[in-house]
Amino acid sequence: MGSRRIVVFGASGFVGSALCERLILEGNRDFRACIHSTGSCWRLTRFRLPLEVVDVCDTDAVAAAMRDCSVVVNCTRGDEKAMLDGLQTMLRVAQKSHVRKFIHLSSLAIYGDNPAPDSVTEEGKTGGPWLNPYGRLKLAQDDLVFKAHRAGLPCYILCPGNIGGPYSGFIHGLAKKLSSGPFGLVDEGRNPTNVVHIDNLVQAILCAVDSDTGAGQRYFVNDSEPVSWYEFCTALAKQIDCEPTFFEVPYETVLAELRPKESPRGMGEHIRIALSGEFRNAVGVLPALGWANSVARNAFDRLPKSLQTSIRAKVQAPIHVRKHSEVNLGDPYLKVQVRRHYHSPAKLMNKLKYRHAVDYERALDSAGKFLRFALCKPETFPSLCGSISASASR
Amino acid sequence: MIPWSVARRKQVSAENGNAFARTQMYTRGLAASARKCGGHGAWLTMRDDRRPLKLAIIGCGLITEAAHLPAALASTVVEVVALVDPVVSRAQQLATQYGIRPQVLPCIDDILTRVDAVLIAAPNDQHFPLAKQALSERKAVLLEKPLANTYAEAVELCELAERNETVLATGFVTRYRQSFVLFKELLDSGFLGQVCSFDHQSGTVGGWAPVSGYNLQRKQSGGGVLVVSGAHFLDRMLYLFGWPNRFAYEDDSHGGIEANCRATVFFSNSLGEFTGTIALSKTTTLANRLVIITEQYECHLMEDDEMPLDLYRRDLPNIVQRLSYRKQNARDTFRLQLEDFAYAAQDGGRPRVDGQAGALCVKLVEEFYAQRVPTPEPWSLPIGRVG
Repeated sequence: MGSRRIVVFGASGFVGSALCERLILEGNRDFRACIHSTGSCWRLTRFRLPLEVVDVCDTDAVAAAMRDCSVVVNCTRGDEKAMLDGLQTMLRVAQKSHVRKFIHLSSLAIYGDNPAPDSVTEEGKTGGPWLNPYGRLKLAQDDLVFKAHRAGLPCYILCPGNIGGPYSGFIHGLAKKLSSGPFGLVDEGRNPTNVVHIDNLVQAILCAVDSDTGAGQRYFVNDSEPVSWYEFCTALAKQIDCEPTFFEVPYETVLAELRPKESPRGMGEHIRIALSGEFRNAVGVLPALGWANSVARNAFDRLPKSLQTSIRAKVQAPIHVRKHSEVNLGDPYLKVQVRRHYHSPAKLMNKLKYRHAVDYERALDSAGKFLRFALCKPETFPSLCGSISASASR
Repeated sequence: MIPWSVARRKQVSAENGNAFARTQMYTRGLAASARKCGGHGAWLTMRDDRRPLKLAIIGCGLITEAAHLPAALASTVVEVVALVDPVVSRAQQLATQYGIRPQVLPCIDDILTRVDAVLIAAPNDQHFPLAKQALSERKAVLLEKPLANTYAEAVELCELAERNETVLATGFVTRYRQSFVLFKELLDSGFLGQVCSFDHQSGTVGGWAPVSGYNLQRKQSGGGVLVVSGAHFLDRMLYLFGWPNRFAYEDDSHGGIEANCRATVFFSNSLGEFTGTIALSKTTTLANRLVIITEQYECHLMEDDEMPLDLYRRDLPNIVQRLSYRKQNARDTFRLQLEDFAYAAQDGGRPRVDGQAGALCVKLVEEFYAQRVPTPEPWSLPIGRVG
């Protein structure tokens, strides 16, 4: 195979930054880093690295970014437009240019929040009723990528779960939760975390870059062995000198919260919203609707009090007051614990010759050391021993 | 009749600092001390019998769009007569967006004769040449931080301003926060006692995305998070505690500009012998607050214009005393900064944050960088291909 000049889209994101850092530190500078915004590229500006601001929905800009590159790595994230239109643009330009390989970052979310047992391998059924909006978008992206592959552009799809390691917002958030009070464990914390260390995900991307086979497939990217939530939380807490306390959250309770609603907004709900003060005040900004609102309001005020009360009772939903000890089922760290299956990277190892960059112990140690820094533990500040006396100021 | 300028000055002074403190958990000692350090009758009516300061805003990036221009338009003390940006369409866009009709120009050459003052909010490497040109024409200058990218340049600007008897102010807007002004009053009054230690943390995941993208290169920005975010705190630290006696500094630059930095500083002066720690980040969300431990209190100042000053008595750590000024109508720090500058420009006085304060901060940044030690990154993979 000839030159493998890589172009990384979404280079300033968590995964893109880690990939670029690895390419830099390994001395492989034959790549181009494309970012969306200069505000989030701080990890990369630490290196004297040229960055290109590219709108992935702009065909000309994408074509210029792909010039002389044979491998495209897509680490972009964003709104629906960027994720679908942007990806379509990238795939279309890649097909027309000299690109020989397109590597796309997908997610385990395509199997839904409560994946079926057959999702232990990549051939399991995707989609289904448990898809959340993000999973739906990622699945739509995968469909576009497979379509491009069938049209002749070799594509690889990598599916990580939760991504851990240094700079991971997921791990930082988990550490803060563990140290700030009791942490809810679903199923007594028995379910696998499916947390992959960022260095292992980068390793998987590099394997896809180097591989001459295995295109047109989806690959799980995960750490070497299943680790339970209880085990992971306990070990992580130890890394940051915290003694975590746990409480049990029933699996069915979280599942009920995640369960897709048949009709999330029925007719009654629409009427309630339309009659709510918030909605009427908002649309009342338009003079005509404001006038209509005040006419309706005056008419309502002229009704007998008993009728007003009766209408209000019918229209207004009861106010739900949560018990002070009630679990917040919207907590994302509860939702991710519903997943009962470990998504093995065996296929990645067999077909793309992937080997872990870091094992579980090293991954934990690495995450812990970064967390101590991120949490500003005392030892992460420079010592004044041997420090410099400041010069006279004035 | 109080002269216009004195009335205006007293009004700003009242807005910023001289009203006495209110607290939800009032203690007798605190109230007495707060009264001692503030006059509570200083609210005066403004007189608008002088023409507003004719102002040109140089640089039409995000900070101008989001802060300086709205502040100038909200003020009765200044009049925006020109917007200057090399990308004229950008300046025109701002004028249209705010429904104003100033002159729109690509450079300052043609406007300096027609304005009293300029506000410079251009990329950092443009601060020095633009300010030099304006000061040479004896125009008052409010210069966004950093004052310059080198101490030598900063000193040159200060000297030029002094020689030409004009005003040079530095845009350290956080000095106008009420919680900070209040803390300074209480510290100076002796109410808080000697300082024992402090810890400042300021960190967000990414953030400000300048239109010009000047933040990508050290040559243009003059530095990384230390300059972009940290300069504000360094200025406040110098103002509160004076120049440090010793310091140690490290950051995570790999040849580019740093995203994270840490410093430990030591002071020995009339406020006490104490050590402070500073953590700044553009990759991680930090606590975004300053905690100062004094003999009597643990003082919390959040990185937020709206938040009051929280005091915890050290012998009653579960009780918070939330302090703010009685008059609360001056939370718009950018307007306060601009009006303070305008009064100084019109009356020939000194702005609250003058050029020398800006220069001192540049000097401290330079000294930090000169003594820089790389941040250990034990979480990183060893260099070399793995697997």
